[in-house]
Amino acid sequence: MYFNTTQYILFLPLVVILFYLTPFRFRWLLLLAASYYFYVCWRAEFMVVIIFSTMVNYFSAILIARNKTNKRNKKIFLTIALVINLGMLIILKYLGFINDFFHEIFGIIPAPTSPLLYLIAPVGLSYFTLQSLTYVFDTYYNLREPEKHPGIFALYVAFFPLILSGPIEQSTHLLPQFRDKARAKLKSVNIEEGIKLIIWGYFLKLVVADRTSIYVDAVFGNVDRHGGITFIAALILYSFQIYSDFAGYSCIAIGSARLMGFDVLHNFNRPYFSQSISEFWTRWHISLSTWLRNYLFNPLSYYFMRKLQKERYLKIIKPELLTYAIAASITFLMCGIWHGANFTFIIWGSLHGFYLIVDRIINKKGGNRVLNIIITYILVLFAWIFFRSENVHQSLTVIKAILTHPGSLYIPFDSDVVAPVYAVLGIFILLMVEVKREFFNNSFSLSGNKNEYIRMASYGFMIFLILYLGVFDASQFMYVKF
Amino acid sequence: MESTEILKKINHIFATVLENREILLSRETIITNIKGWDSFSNIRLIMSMEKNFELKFNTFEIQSCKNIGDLCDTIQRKQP
Repeated sequence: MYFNTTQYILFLPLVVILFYLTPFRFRWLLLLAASYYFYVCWRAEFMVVIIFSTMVNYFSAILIARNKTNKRNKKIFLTIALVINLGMLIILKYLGFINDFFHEIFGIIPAPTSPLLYLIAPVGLSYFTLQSLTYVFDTYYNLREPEKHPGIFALYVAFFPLILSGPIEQSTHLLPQFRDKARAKLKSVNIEEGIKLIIWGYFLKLVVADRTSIYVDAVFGNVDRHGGITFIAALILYSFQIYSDFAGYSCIAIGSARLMGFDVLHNFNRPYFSQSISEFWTRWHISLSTWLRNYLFNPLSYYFMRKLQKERYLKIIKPELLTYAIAASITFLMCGIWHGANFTFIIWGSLHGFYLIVDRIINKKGGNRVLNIIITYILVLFAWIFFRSENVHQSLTVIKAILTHPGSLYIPFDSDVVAPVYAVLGIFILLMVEVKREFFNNSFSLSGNKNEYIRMASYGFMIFLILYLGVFDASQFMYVKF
Repeated sequence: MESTEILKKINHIFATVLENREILLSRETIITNIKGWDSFSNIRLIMSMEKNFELKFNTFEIQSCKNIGDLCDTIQRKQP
């Protein structure tokens, strides 16, 4: 069940009503049943993976906590949890890719014949694996006590607003909320805030993302026929498509949780207004970048910091810069791989790692704000070429066309002509809202107005826009496939 | 070392690393809100604090510090 289906529009209010009617001590059970039902609607057989993952992480954390003073045993249980979690990810998501890689590059493995190599990864696997791992790590580093209640822990793993595409929550932030009775009281502010986020999320998805995708798909579905100008237009639209699709999803997820009083970490903060790539990664997919910083970049930094401090030949390059370069390269390589089993994602991730290192070497501070925003946007746009392409060859075709063959702008003259117009209108509204929030945050606000009639009218207007301009074909959210 | 002395020393380290002489930290200052703090300066700050206080942090000790007060307490706890 995706968020943009009629099924979810009926499911969510029903769960929220039942949630507030159920006594507090049984709410975890209601939410767990609702979450499992939500997941089963997609593919029932993958429930096995979720339940297995839940059990592994539940028992690992308890065993880690029991061996607080025995460092060796503690490490063994952490390693077991890591091997099983990452093993599941590798087998279900990357095995086919790894086999192809070794077959094509080195020829040491025969061509794949078994369909088992190309299993479809259970939807949400990349997200709930990372979310579960934060819990295991946090227990290992004594940041929290293990959750004794298996039902509440199972809910943390499978909580339906977050299971398909995050935001990837931190165990120290979300888990205690399931036990917080004061938070679970019905409050009008939570209901209104939740509805507001959900409406904005649907606007981003159904109007901006799904309208722009029509043009973008038409161009990228036929790369040999288009010139550079068309690709630049498609890339700009794609940058809004991917942002609106994922930010829209995140808003619906956060809003759904908020309806029941849960506070979920925000995932986006107007990323295209970033003045540098490092700032971009504090504003784009924040829950993933926070996870990568806390559990990959920082441990790698510590490791290399200690190793490199002792090296004498590093007098030319400062050890902290080299530490940063190595840790950032590995982190962003992994970030690319996390997005999918394709070289395009690896190049996209590595490119961002490269940008960060160059940014650090140049170490330019200040400058014109608008110019910084434009430069950062162009760099991000260039990296999106790889992210959007089916394969590296397609990416290179697009880059070559942009550099050597401008051509003329492709305008669809069939029934699709309305799509780009609606897409541009959607993007215009999105930009108006974001420019206002970024530069004039304290000025007059419609959706945040003190007058409730003005607020309600603004929500009503947004719903009208969604119904009038939106696409209602229940298309998949892009980030679900990661 | 006294807590106030640690705070004073931390203030000096942050001012040097973040190249901001006017920085004024209190126990309540949220580390991630400090101007100029990022993943790179984090590496430099840890290296500098380890050198100045003659100790070694483990991976999550700094991460679990919400504010400068937590950082002072962590350093005080690790003092020989």
